[in-house]
Amino acid sequence: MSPITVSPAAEEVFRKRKTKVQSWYFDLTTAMNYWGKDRLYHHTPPISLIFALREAMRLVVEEGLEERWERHRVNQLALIAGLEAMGLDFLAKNPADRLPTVTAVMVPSGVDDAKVRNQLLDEFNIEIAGGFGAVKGKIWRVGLMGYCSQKPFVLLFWPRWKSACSIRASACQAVPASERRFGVIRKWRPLPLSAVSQPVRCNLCHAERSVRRFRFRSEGISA
Amino acid sequence: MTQHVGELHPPVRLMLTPGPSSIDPRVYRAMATPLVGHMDPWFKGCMDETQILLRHIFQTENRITMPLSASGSGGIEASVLNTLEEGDEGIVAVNGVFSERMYEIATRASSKVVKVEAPYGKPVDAEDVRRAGKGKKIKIIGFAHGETSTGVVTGIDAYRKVADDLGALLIVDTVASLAAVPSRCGQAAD
Repeated sequence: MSPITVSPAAEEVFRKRKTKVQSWYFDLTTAMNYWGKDRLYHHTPPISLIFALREAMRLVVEEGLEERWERHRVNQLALIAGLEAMGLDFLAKNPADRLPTVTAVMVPSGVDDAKVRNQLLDEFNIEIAGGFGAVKGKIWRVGLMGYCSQKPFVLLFWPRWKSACSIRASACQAVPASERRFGVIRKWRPLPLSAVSQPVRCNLCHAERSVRRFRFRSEGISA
Repeated sequence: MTQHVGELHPPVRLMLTPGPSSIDPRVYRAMATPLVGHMDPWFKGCMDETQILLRHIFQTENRITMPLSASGSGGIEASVLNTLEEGDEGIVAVNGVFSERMYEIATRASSKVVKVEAPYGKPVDAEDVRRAGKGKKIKIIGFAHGETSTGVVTGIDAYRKVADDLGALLIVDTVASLAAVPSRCGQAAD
């Protein structure tokens, strides 16, 4: 699903159009007839994905938008600290230009971009992305997005990375550098992996069962 | 059928990518709940809730706020195609593959759209956009808040000001930044 919002000024532009929108499917005025108060049929939407989006947004509300921004910012700083300790460089040289969710790292000369990514995937089930377009083969892109922006994920990355990447120089420095970064930022609340047992209602038979499941919790935030 | 196709068992990956990325188990659970019809009275309430949440995430009161049944590229296509008509002038700030895509879509809607570029790894300076639009009747200014292909964030405030000064609508691609990087669309974007 692709969330979209349209300001009253843009809505006014839609109203004043002289020609029809070239795309029937993406005509927001008629699509909104379904999402507006009339609920008129437009196209048949993927219901399960709307359920997924609703739940994902409930997670955002529970955590808080500002807390979430802070979490993404802090976890990326720890990732960057580790990468810097390994002697790696970044595509965005100016720290202020770096997008907290996606870190673009320069592939060092002599290192095979795809080989490193394949090894991470095949041996450790970790996927990172390569570059494409003008920077194909020149960068790796490490995403810490939403659920993936977690301290445990940042820290477990280093030993695997060290093993997959033939950059020997100070790869082991990444862990303490990253940990120090976590340590110095006081606002950080660790996310311990906790096993909790709680009753879950079966969606089919509606019986209540106690299911042991794993979840990540943030301190001080009630889920 | 000659070949046996087994039940789906994808490997369990840790997706440290710019998307798709690993998702919270609660989202998997929501997806596994029973389907209802898209015109089911119960689902209408569920749509209301979804829109309440969306407006909160976008920090807006905009009436047209909804999830499009599409990937992020569909969202870009919708925002560009609904605002532009042939002959309209527009500027797209290009600093990566996805902002280039917005430009490509915009040129299909109007032949008078131009791009202002920055090297990969840097945001496009809003003042460069201002210079490109000077003396023209610019209808839209588009850019990627988070350029997924290069990991670069572009500040919204400077663009907001340039768009206001030029009398243009602002189209902001937040596919990689929504609910993760500060952006308040209520004041920020059209």
